[in-house]
Amino acid sequence: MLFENYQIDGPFDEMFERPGVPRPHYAPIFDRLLQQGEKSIQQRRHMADLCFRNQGITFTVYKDAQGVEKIFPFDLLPRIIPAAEWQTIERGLIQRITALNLFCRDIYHEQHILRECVIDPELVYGARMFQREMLSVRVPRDIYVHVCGTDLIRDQHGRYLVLEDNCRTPSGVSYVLENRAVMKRVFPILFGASRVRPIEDYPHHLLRALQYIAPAGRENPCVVVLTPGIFNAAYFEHSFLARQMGVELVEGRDLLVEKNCVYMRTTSGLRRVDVIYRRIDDDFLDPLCFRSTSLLGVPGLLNAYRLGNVALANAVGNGIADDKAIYPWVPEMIRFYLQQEPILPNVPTYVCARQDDCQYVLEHLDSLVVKSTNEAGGYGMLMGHQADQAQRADFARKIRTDPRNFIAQPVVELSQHPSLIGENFEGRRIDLRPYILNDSTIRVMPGGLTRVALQCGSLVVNSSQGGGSKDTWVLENGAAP
Amino acid sequence: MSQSQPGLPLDRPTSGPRQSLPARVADASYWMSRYVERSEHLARILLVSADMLTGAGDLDETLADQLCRDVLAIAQQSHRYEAWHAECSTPAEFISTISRHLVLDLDNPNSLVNCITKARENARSIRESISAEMWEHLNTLYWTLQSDDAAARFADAPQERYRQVMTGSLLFQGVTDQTLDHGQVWLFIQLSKYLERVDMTCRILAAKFNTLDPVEDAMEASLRVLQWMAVLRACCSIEAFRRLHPQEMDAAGVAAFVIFEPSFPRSVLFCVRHALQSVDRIRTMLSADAGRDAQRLLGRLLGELQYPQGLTGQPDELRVFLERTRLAAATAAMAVQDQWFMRALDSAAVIRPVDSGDLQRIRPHAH
Repeated sequence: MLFENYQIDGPFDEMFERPGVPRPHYAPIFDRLLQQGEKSIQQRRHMADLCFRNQGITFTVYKDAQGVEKIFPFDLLPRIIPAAEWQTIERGLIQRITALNLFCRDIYHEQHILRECVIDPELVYGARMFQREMLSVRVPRDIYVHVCGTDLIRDQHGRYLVLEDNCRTPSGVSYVLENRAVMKRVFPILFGASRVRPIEDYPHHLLRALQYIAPAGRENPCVVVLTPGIFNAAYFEHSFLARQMGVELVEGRDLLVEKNCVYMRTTSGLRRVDVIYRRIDDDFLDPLCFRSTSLLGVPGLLNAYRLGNVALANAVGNGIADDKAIYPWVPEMIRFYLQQEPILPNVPTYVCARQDDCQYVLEHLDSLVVKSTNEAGGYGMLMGHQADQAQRADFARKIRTDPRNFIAQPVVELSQHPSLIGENFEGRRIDLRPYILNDSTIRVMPGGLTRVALQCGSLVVNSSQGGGSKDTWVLENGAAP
Repeated sequence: MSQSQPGLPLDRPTSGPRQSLPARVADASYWMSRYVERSEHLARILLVSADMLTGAGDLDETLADQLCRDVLAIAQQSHRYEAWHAECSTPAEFISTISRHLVLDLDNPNSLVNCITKARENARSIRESISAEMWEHLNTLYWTLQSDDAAARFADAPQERYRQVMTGSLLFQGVTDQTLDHGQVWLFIQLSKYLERVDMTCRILAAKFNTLDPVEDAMEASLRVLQWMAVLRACCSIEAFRRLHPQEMDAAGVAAFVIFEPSFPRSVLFCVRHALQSVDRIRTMLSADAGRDAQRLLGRLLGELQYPQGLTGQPDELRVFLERTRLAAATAAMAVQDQWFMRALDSAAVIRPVDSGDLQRIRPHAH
């Protein structure tokens, strides 16, 4: 039967208090699942798979030159977050993005935080994503981080910790929206049991946030989404967001810069572009400024941006805010800029750029998770306790050659959640990436992307490493517990 | 004091169709539609040919062979005749070999699977500009042809696959009409659909009229009727023809219907008229000089079709006429590409006439 062999003796379990006894906020759907029975659940899973395939909800894995379109595995059982718990998360995220935004503004202008020796200047100037070109550039409305995706995990005691911030081009929000749509289509009966906060207005707010930064005096600003192209891993999302917002999706070759203004090549000639939601990294944005071999960008774009003739979201140079070696100082930033105590704690982190830390890391490689500071997607990572001797030696060598590029953290046991594996539910590790929009107010989408490490015992949830995802429900205030 | 109600200002002017469209999007929508249309014609000609061969078991061997040659000519694969023929011993086997290649062969840019794949790839690159329904329909069609057991399922029931593609294409156009705003993207979809249909219809007629000289013999004559019916079926015209011409079925009647019938959406004249209308409307919408060549070329072609000259009934004449029509439509298609898609917006693109050699080059457009 569905939950008969379910084990909860490991990490924090999201759904169960004791064997067979769900936490109060899971009780209603637990009952409904048992009423449904195995056959119906299998049918619905099949329906969900077909929905994803036929609607082409995919991501691309880089394997050969072409890349392979894959369906992001969808796990039928939703993750549920009670209203009170969510309120804390929401407050913590708003606090954090406020501080990160102030940090970016500070670093590219007065640099108070460096002058007062809160953060070592070398760490900032040595960051690969520090963009000298952005010094003293006034960005529209002083907003750097318009869209943020913050990765949260829960430790052994169920405490929420921030694992990392994504202040450049966080992806995944399209899967959040599609997961919800598919869930409503194949399993409407589960929704009846709880009052779930809607998320469908995200594209609307995203468009508002983009229009908010349009250059002054531009009526009916032309907003576009800039994608690297169809072979990019997140191409589906770029196209999805453009469609949902009703704006054009463009590639670098569709744009050109003339007299420091950006234009789109259209069937009726050139059309001025005011706001670009760019899903291209800084490095590829403008071959005149950054990587000169990039064919993805638009020559001259950065100058148009610096002159305020076009707005970019997110701002250029945000990489300093989500650099993994700067991450340990985010709590300090919150204290420094906001005079508040952080609501959401960090995971303890050793920064190899500091000699003591580096020594400790090298001596404890077998019990730490080592991460490269500028990689994402689960690449460039060592899970010390699972690696073999050769892999550890390899990382030790890399750390010694370039300590600035590495950090290490103790293994945090991610919380587990039941996933439908074959015929039964089994515990699988999950994290949570809520999405935050920042314009005149800061708005946290209620929920976010819950990623699942579908391999038994794995702690890596990235889609490129065989992760899946599930719908995430934040309950209404006053809804059943 | 009572306050005035804010109300809903529903009387404000609507925005109208969207004015500017990235040239790349126009280009991709054009090829998406063209490949869908191409796959439909290919599926239909294969279905009709397979039907004739399986139905008439005692079909004359030279006739059966001719049928296979026609299919290859229409699909522009005549050069493969020797190689594929060597693999087979009977005509039925031959047509199934041809079909397998024309349907599944990944090396043939115009195989059925490749057409649908390319249509879907173009659609995927403009998902934000077409409706979700259009995408889902095309994507589902793609997956029915691409699944792991596709080859086995094709071998099992090829006719079913042909029908799936034909219906898929027709439904795609229906979904498009009813879910997409009739703006520029829609107009480019119409334009390319009609241009492709002109091309395919002319090729089918040219191949068939090559072989169907009038005959005296009564036995032969009854066979001819079957063949005329096949031509009409291949052009998706048989029911309409019967309804409008209940009396006779002969070479001239069939050809005239498929080429000149003004009320039937499969006739060459109808397609050219509607392609021209699309060009007119795109030009009005863009209020620019671009597209004038396409308009002129299609306008002159329409004139020739409305007031044809020198068609006295000789098969050769008809072939020349069809070839001229195809060339004119292909030249217009190139003008459309050069002036609207090439993004050479500041330099006036030069349009030159297309010759037959060019046609070979243009057709397998690897887009």
